[in-house]
Amino acid sequence: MKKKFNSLKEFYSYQSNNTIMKSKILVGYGSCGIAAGADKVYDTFESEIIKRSLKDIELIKVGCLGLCFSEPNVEIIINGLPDILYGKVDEKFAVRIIDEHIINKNIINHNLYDKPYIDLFNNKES
Amino acid sequence: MEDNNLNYIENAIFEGVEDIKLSEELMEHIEKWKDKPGNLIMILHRVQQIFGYIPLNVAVKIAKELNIHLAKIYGVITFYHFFKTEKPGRHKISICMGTACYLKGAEKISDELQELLGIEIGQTTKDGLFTLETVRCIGCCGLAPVMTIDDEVYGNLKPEDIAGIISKYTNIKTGV
Amino acid sequence: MNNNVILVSNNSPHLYDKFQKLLTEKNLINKYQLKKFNTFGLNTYTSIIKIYPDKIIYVDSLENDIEEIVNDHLINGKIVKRLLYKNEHKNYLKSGPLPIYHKQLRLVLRNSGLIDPESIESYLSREGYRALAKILNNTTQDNVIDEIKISELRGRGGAGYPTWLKWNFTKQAQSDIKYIICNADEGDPGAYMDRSVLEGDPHSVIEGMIIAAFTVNANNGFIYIRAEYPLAIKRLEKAIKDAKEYGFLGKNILGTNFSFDIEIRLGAGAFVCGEETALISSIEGNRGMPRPRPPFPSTKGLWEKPTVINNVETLANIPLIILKGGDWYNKIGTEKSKGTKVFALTGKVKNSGLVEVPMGTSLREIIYDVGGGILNDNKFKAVQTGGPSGGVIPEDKLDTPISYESLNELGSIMGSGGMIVMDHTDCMVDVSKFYLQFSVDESCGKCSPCRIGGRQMLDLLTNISEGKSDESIIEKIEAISSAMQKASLCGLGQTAPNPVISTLKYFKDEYIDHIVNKKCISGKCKSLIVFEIDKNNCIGCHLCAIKCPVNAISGGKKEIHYIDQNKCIKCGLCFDACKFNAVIKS
Ligand SMILES: Cc1cc2nc3c(=O)[nH]c(=O)nc-3n(C[C@H](O)[C@H](O)[C@H](O)COP(=O)(O)O)c2cc1C
Ligand code: SF4
Ligand code: SF4
Ligand code: FES
Repeated sequence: MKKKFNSLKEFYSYQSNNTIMKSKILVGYGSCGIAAGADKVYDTFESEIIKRSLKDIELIKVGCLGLCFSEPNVEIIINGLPDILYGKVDEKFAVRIIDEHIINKNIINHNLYDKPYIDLFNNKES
Repeated sequence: MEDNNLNYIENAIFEGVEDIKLSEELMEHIEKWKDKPGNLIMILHRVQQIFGYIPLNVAVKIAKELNIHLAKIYGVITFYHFFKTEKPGRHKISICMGTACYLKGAEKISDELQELLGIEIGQTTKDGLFTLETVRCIGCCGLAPVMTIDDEVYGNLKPEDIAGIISKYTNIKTGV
Repeated sequence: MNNNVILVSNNSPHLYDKFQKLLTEKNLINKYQLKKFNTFGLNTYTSIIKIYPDKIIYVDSLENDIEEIVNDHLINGKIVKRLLYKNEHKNYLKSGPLPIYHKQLRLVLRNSGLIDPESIESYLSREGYRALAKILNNTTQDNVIDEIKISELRGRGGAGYPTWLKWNFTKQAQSDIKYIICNADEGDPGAYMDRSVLEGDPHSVIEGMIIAAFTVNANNGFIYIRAEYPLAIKRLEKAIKDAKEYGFLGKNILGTNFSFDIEIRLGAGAFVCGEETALISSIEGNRGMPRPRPPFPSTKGLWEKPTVINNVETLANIPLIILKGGDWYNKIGTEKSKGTKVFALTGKVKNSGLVEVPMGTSLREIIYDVGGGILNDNKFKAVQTGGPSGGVIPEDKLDTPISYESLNELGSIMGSGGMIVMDHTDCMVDVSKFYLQFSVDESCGKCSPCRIGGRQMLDLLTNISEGKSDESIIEKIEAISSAMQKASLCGLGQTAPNPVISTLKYFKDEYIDHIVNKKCISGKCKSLIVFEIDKNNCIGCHLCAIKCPVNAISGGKKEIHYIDQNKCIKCGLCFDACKFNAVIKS
């Protein structure tokens, strides 16, 4: 993937390959997320994904959403379902998220949080 | 503190210090920074990363390498709270005394720790296991009050939690 | 996949129950995923209902409305217009994250929490480095300055100096060598906005620096960051390395003849190094002591060369202004304070965390609508902004729209973004003592008003908190404050009295209570509290005596206990221990 842009033209003709629509698990991985246990949650997701050979799912460490009171925060983005933010996720809950939300597409009725932002570039309001 | 610092230079100047051979890695780092202006602080950071503090004989060595006065190094070390002149304990306990933690009872946590370990802030236990320090906000205010032991963060602390947390580290010692 | 989803806010559990009942009755319960979610503020709306995949938000619905939603919307596909969320223009808004309803607007934090901060590709996929390409492609340095001027962006490091002016001074300064410095020293204890930006979106700051460098003709940059932020440092290092590899940093950026490089320099735990001249001295490898200004760094800075020094948040705004235009940015905020501000909302507030709101949002909206109100539903007392350089703001000023000017008028400052909520259990004398202690510890000692004045003032405050003072003390405090404000060399000394002055302004009664009546109603000032056993409530369980670390409590089992005031060290453990409210604090 490493690439050097030698000119403006090269830069403008470049299309980021990050746009493919995959399901995503975003784990809030800032200092306070880690302090609250995001590292263990991330590891759980990682090993569960491998264990069940889940395809087309991207596990991403992201920065802080600002919701320090509900860390560790995990956002699940699946095509067709609303983006869902879970707060206070621990290792056990992470396994449930994989089983129920990712595999069975059932949102879990537990610790759902309102998202604090409007996405400036990718406004999903239709 | 003051007296210690005085000893620190006087020792260096009047009694001479034991020579130390710096590791290759550290020498490389010094070499890399040697000709850059403003290098001293970055070199001291690496020294502290390796030793946990700035040993006197290393400081003397650096003064020679960079061709500067030891007094200059001393001046910088004493100005910045981050740099230490004394060997720290095996585990560094840092209690956050930032505003959010203070308002949520950091003092009680600090009192409990001092009582439990029998030392004051800035000191190291006799067995060399723990050093107690305060920090100003580690950015986990949402979990206030917090403390860190080495790299581990403990949040939402209550005085009664402390003994249990500390025992995790003392047990490691007896286990060794 | 069942993609019919109904989300009901948890401040209205009866609506959730009603949905459940109706859906069950109509045999629809298996067709919908009905879930509860937590909102931030409980005050904005009595309820929020979101329906997917239609992406509809209903607000303030009552129990009776649910039937209509189920019948009209769910069954017949007809939207219930009167319940729709509307923005200030009375437009019906569909679902998705909405700026007004959340009160937040995330410009600086636009990518934080959405992208992988360690992946430059992730940043590129969200317009990353587009602003840089845009200015390299067809913009002159003057155009950039104009754009920033139109945006009216002001420095987010505290003082609020117009960014374009600073850049213009450095641009016009004659010198072969010029520098850009990013101030990531973030010293305010209890604030971590800059850290979050650096941890969540490091490239936005780097891109801002490159644009600044292009504009003023600088070829070298430094990020001065606290050593206490290891994760932010690691992510910055990675980001700088990647940016070099991709050709955004280094020689001939994107094939143009513009070259610029960035190095990281670590702070070492000295708050005063956040002050720009002290910071420069620290990068130069010296003790971080401020020097008098002028000359300002913009003309004579690092190694005497013209230097632009900007805060992290200021720089993170830059790419956005270039991309969306100064006009666009200028529309957000108040008359003199444009854009947004990130605050670290902490203390006695329910939802502590980072919030980013447009300038002009009121303190009340931040604390109650975004922050969810006071922890344990305690009584609000004051909110502190600006850290050790700022002041407290009381209840009756909470509706003030936030701007640099309005906060100054209230005796506080915008500061870098610390916002700490205090409740009735917090003592204002104790709080100002806390901040002053901080400033005294951090004073570099170069000038005497700060070094000696701060120390004296701290002694006076300690006397007040120990009940060893009379009313003349207030005059003394005022005299020292004014000397420090006028005669200190740098901002640290000049602003150190602010927490004291502002608490005196709004909470004088509390000071008088300490001074005259020797009372601390919040029970924070230990010397003024007495712990006693209430004879009527004590059942003689002996728990307090077990807890007391100094054996100050006597009394046998089932007997009324007694506290020996000479032994008591006022630790309060007995008070916390007693389950029968028999220990009284007065
Ligand atoms: C004691 C003191 C501490 C300061 N600490 C910081 C700081 O931590 N971060 C910061 O950006 N500015 C800090 N400043 C302000 C800087 O001196 C300077 O004004 C600022 O970095 C300029 O950037 P801006 O124009 O983008 O705000 C501090 C000032 C003083 C007097
Ligand atoms: S005001 Fe205080 S911190 Fe600033 S130069 Fe004077 S002594 Fe140093
Ligand atoms: S306040 Fe502390 S020292 Fe005093 S009686 Fe209670 S437990 Fe003992
Ligand atoms: S004040 Fe303790 S983590 Fe911020």
